[in-house]
Amino acid sequence: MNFITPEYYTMFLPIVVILILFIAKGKRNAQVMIMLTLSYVFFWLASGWHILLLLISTLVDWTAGKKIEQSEDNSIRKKWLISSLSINLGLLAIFKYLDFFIETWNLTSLRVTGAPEIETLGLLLPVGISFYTFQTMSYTIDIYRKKHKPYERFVDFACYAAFFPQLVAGPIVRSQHFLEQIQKPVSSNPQQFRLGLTLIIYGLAKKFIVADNVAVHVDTIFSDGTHLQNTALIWWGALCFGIQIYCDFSAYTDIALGSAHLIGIDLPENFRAPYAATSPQDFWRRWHISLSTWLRDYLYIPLGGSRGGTRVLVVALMGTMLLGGLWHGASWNFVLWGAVHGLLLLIHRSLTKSNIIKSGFERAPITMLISGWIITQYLIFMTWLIFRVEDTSMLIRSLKTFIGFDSHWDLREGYDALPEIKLLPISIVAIFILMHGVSGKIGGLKMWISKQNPLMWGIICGTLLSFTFLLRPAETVDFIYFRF
Amino acid sequence: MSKESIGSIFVSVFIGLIVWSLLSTSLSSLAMDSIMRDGSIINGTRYTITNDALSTISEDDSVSVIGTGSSQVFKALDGKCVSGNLNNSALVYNIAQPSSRAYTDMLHIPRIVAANPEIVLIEIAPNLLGNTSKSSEEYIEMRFKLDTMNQDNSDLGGWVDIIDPEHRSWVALDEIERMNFRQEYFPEAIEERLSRLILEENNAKEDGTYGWIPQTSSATWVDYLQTPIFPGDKYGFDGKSIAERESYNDTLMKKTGNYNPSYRNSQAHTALDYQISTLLENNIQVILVSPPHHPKALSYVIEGKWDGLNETLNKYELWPGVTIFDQTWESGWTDDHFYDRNHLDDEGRIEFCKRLAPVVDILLN
Repeated sequence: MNFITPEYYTMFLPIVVILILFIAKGKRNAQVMIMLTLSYVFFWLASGWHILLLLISTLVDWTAGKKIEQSEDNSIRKKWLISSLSINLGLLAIFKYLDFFIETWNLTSLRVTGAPEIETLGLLLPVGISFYTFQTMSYTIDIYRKKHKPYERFVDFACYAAFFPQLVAGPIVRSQHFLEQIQKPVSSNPQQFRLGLTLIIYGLAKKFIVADNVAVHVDTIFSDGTHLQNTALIWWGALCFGIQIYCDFSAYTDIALGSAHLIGIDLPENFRAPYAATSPQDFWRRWHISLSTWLRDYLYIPLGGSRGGTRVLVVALMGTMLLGGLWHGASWNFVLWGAVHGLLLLIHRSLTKSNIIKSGFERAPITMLISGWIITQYLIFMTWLIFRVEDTSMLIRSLKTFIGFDSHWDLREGYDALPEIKLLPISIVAIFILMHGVSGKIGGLKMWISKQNPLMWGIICGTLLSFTFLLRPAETVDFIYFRF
Repeated sequence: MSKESIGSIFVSVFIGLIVWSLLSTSLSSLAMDSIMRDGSIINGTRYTITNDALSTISEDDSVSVIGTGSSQVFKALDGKCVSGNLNNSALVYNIAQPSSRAYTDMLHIPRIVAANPEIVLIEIAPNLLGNTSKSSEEYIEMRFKLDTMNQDNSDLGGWVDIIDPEHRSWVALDEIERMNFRQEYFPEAIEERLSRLILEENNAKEDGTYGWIPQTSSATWVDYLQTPIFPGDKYGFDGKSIAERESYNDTLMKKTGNYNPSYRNSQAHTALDYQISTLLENNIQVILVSPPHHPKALSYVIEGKWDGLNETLNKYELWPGVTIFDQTWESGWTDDHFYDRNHLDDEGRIEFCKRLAPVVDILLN
């Protein structure tokens, strides 16, 4: 079960709402217990025995948090922190990266020493492991840093680690943010409940209307590599993939936030119109915010951040972005993607210090802003190619074509190379671009919808649901971030 | 939440669901209805007509005769010719579908009963008496989906229990399942609409050509239901060169000898049992039609190989209300009558009409 299976909406979510808001109304402990139990049921249905890994991660960080808190001895505190980090990262390393390391080793050793290959384990990636391990690690690190005290009740902490809306693909929630909300009985007011429903419907619309429809074009363009020398087609492919990944991931976040809102829990936002960003730095303030702030707080700043001179900054920034890239998956593509983003951030930093840029902003701020937006988005969409095209030779070809090197521009050929359903995704992309801008202007379309009166709300949401139902492609595509 | 707040949420959700339901239905109807039948997204346009055809027939007060079956009956039956050759007054309709069989036709039995015809022609041919093969599953899925997506609950009947459990997901038995099947064609319909709007390109079949279906509101609709547009003879034997014809005779003609009809208890037999018994229970007479085959094709049939067909016809012949019109081994069918080895051409249709009309007349008396 997940957010795109009908049972989630017809069975699971109604049961959650009835049990928490009505049956256990006002009974805080019972509500938390119900949330925990149903979260484990949800996770069991989504990933089977991998539920044990969640349990291990929860027990380890619960114990580590308590031990760190109880001890005044720094070496003991450190030992518990290192134990916690080792086990969490160890689980991540084994289940997510071990096969990747073995494959890399095999490739290297074959070339250098001719040594025999080591067989890969073929382990299935446990659903949500990258999200919940980061979440529980942040809990232990914060206690170690004495930023806050550990949870008093194990059930509360287990519920924080396993809370079903954010368990599989985030957002990555900080422990205090969650604890503050479950310290008293949870309840939902009409505005919050309607916002929850709005977010769910809005998320489903983004996933089924936009993400899954443009995915068909992306898959066709990058499946065989026959038209990769056509810049028009590669630009279209990159644009479509950028829109697909944003609508797919932000749809998941919307549904997660919406589900939590229904029972009165507020989860942090993950996106803020990322394609309106006017610089790489601005992009990372708008894209996967819960991960980028996690990386900032637990990696970039501890590595020295921007306070230790240029060399430290380069190491901190590049290290953070490389690991941030690797977090997405066990592939050199993601490492390269992180590295390129790191470079873009470094270049942007140095450019903002230059007098030419500064005076440019003083003399023509709007022109500079528009130029910044065009250059940023051009580069962002180029990096999506690294994210999407796994085959190295196809990736190099695509990147060359994207920048117009050894390529041609042929709209007709590009159009003909698209799958049978061409105009529908093209229209969807055009509407998305328009809406992305408008949504940013009016402070979030979903917020605006949720504030409408019942009649207007019903009409808008009913219309959205109709288009979602009618325009969903025959083949449902899993959420992209399930892979991470 | 207070009762008032719960009330406002319920009102919002209720309005949302109503809008969803109304808009989904009307949008899909608006975008798809004409396009589904004009060949833009479904090449086999004829597969989309059955429910509307039967509704039209049920609204007609005159005595009616309905012909069902596969492409063999489709290309054999000229309804207007048969009507014109009857001493009685009756309208003969041809709703046979290419590649159809009892297993797919049975879905229409409740609507056929509701149309209250005097006689129904059901095809029994040697290639259709058996179980569904793996290779025909794609076709069965398409037919089941197309046929059931436009049905309503009054179309449900005994056929539901006959559907192979493996095929259950291709059949819509409630409104949600029907909407789901209709939705599968919606993106393509929108694509076609956009193509017409933006590119001014139209993929519909040309009016009056083979495969073109008149709109149900048009004056030619009832004419079409009686005498559909048949493929021109030039696409069959008449258009073949001597060399092509010789090659056909040496290869494809032999295929007829491969048919191996079951004797009993096959999926086709179960469907036929249901079709025939239901029609008879509703006082509708049945003519079991076995269409003719090219004499050269028949020469490849080993003696006894089609006994399954004979035994099946013999079984139903004993059922009161069933008449057999078996043209398989009847004499007088010549090369000139055939479009290909098992389909009739214009001349063949006239001959078929002359032979069928007296049989229908006897039953109408």
